[in-house]
Amino acid sequence: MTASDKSASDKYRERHQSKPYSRRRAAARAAWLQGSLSLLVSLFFVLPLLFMLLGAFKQQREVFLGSFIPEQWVWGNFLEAWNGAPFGRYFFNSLLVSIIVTVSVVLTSSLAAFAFSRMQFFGKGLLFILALGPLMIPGDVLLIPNFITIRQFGWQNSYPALIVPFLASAFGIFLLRQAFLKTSQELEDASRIDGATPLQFLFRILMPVNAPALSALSVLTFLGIWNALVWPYIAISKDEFRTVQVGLASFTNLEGSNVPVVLAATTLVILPVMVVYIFAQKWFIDSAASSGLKG
Amino acid sequence: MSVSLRRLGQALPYLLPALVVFGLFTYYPLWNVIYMSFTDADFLRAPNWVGLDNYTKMFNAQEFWASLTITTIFAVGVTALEVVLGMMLGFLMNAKTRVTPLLRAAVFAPVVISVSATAILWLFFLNTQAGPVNRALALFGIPPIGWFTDPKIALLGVIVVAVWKGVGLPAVLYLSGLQGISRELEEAAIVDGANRWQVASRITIPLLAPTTMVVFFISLVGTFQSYGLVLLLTRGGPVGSTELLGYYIFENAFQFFQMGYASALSVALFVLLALLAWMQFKVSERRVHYQ
Amino acid sequence: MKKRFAILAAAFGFGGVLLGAAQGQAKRTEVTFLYGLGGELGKAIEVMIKGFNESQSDVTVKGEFSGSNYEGVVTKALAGIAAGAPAADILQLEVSYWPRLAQAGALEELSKFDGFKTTFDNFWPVFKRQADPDGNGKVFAMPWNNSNPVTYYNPDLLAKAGVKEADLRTYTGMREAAKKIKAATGLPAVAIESFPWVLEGAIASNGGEIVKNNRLNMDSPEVLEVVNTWAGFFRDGTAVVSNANSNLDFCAGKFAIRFSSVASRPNIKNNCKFAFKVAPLPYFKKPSVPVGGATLAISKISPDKQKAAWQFIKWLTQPEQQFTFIKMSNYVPITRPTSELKAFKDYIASEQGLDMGVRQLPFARPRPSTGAYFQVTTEIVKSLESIYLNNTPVESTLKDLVTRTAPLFK
Repeated sequence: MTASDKSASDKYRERHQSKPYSRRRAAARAAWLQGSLSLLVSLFFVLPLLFMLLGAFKQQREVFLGSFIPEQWVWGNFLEAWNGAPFGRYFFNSLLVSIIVTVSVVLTSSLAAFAFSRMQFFGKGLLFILALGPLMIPGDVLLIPNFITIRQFGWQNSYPALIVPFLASAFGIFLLRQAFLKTSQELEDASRIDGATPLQFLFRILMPVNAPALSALSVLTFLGIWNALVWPYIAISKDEFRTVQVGLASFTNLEGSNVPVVLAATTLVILPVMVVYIFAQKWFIDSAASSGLKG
Repeated sequence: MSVSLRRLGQALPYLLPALVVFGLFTYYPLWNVIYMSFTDADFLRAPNWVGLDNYTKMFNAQEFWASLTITTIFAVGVTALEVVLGMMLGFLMNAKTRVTPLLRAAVFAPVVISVSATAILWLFFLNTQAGPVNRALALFGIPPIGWFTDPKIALLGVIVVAVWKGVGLPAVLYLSGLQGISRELEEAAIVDGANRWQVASRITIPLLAPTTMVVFFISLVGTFQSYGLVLLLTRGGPVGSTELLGYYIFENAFQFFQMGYASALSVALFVLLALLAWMQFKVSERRVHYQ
Repeated sequence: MKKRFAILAAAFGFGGVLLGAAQGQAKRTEVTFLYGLGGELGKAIEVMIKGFNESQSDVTVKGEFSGSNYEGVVTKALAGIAAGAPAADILQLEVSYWPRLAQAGALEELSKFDGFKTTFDNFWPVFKRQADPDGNGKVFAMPWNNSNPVTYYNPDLLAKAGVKEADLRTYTGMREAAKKIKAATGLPAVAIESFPWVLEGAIASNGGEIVKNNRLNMDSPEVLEVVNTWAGFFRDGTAVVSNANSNLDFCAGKFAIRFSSVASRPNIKNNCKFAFKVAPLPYFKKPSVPVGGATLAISKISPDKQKAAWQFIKWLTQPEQQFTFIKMSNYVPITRPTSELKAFKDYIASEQGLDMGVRQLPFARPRPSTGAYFQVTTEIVKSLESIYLNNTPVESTLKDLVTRTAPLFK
């Protein structure tokens, strides 16, 4: 701390102490204002979810009628939703696919980011552009050609169709390269002196040191795959391999849907992620924040 | 040269896993799409080479320009709201009140929910005739608002849902940006008699510029290509008022079977996104330069 | 040596035949069936599939829901064609969607199959015309879950305005009734669709045709009169455009009258607290309703599978299976023998309005069967919404629509 800094914060403290009473009242008022504003804003974000939950408990005939609180709590809606589609299987599929893709993306991104951040080689600039290019290419544009590729590999209606196209991520490479670049060169020199191979350095030092960035990448990748809709919808038409999000679509019906059951199914689909989120909220937010996206 | 070539040999094993995946599932299909944009491919017959026909059709199509306008309004609207509201939420989430933990949980919660679930619950929540919101408004004598059914309002309705779903990430980025700013500058300004608003506008917000830059471009590039909400909420209607470019492509490809035309549209979108990325690069380069 | 080899080969060949026969007995041919109805109607389809699989031992049908509606089936069928392997062996195709796939050579011609003629001849004439629009005997899609639109109304709201069911018989009469309902209840009277299904019927009832001579005929005087009358409801402030939740809005008492498929009845029944009633669809000069619902088609597959698929389709058209399906779904009977079943007659007499679909069959008309109509439909929707919601002038909007869609018919 420099001298001038010290004097500034001293002055600050003096000012605070000079009018203790009104200052404290102003601070209390500000806190109260912030508190009520926070409550209001929270309400805006939570209200649609709350109504989904309340709607899921209603009788079909009172969804849009009667009080906002269900007159009768129809737990049967959840039972019907659960039995309406093989949700157990869907959850298993989503979980399996999301986990494999997440692990793979972390691995492939780490490897590529390591090369881009720590090595000098011929054609590096061009290869880097190739590695980041997918960021700019709208993925849905590639649906049909990719579907044809999947068919040619004989992968239609199988796990590889849901997994293989997503095994690497341009965003992941970008993110981890940023993080790896900030890690000091001395660590690498030290480990080389200890006789570690580049791979050992990557897995034993570079990746653990950058755990926040890796966990951010994991969270975002997992969410992206778990919530994906269009590709799984196109690539899969058998229940055995269908994912949760596609399964959710089977509750709407051309001639009118059973809205409470649809809402119950939606609640079931949201629930596991929300439970994980509520328990790991701090980790989620810290991860997203430390994604190295701060520029 | 030979040394760096040998080094390339050393680097390749690290790069290959990712590059093979990109080659197979991004560049090979991209090449296909570019090729198809010069044909009349519709999957039903063998494609014929038609030269620039699809591009001429695109530039002459009123729908293309309309969807480009709508996409721009949507992207700029959502981006502006995500920057402004994201920052305000960041400030609010940085406060220390008893409600703050709830606020942090609530704001980020929609980020973890899928687009399909989001669409289902908002269709219910904002249903025109008898949805909870319009029923509540009716208590104050306000007639039903056509959130997704009135051509003058539907785009706004979709923007509201997009911001609800998307603003959590910018808010968290701003929160962490704020936590990274040292308090001393602000304290010094207060000592010099600046009020809260002056501190925020002259010191804190300028210091958040890097975050703003990132939020701005992530949001803009993301919203330019997104159409999932429109697909599920409005199907581009009413009267084409929510026909985003992404949905226009989807419609032409998967409903009208006009793969050639849809490919030309995709190439246009790709060029647009590349342009945005180039702008981002230029701007961030200049920023670095001035620092 | 040669001889011995020949004997050996013959023995092997014979053995192969025996083996094949044995396998044929033990193994059932499996065919996949891609359908476009979810929710309760999807369950009804699965019940039919299960019934078929249990009824015989040669064929196993595996149902696959498209994950979306009829458009989803087309999307998947297309992706399948692009990839060179059909999405499924049997496809459920909406009545106006199959021509496009048939033109592309993606569907098997059905008249060659065993018992085609007797099956086909039993269909109501309107379904024959829908399945064979050129009358050349070539059929690519068999009628199955077919419907037509009816008028659902809220008797309480009508009573408040002193409006009777008879007032709803014609569109012009309904327009006056709608004003009364609005004045008495303050609510919009009727929900009108911008999708042109009911409109096709209204136009036919006015002596017009929506597609004529391979062009959109919506600038003709007959069509203009219809659209002007419908737009009149909106100008009077007595109509809203219907949407996916309109059944619920109707049941919540937010408007009095809704035109919808007979197959919407189970959903409306589950949602309405009040005793809704069903009236015939209104008309202009003479009653007319459009056919709706979907057909079943067979993809280009191996002869074995074709036969198996055909066996399933034929089974579904039998009166008993038809009746089982109708009880769950409220679709109309597609064959005359079904509508003559005593059990069916008893069933439709059991509730008010259950008979409306079959009563309207004599004046039902096929939907347009041009391959281009699907894409034209989205343009029609846009223009009608613009007339209804943005108040654009009827004549110039429709003229623009006809010009805009002309290239699609080429």
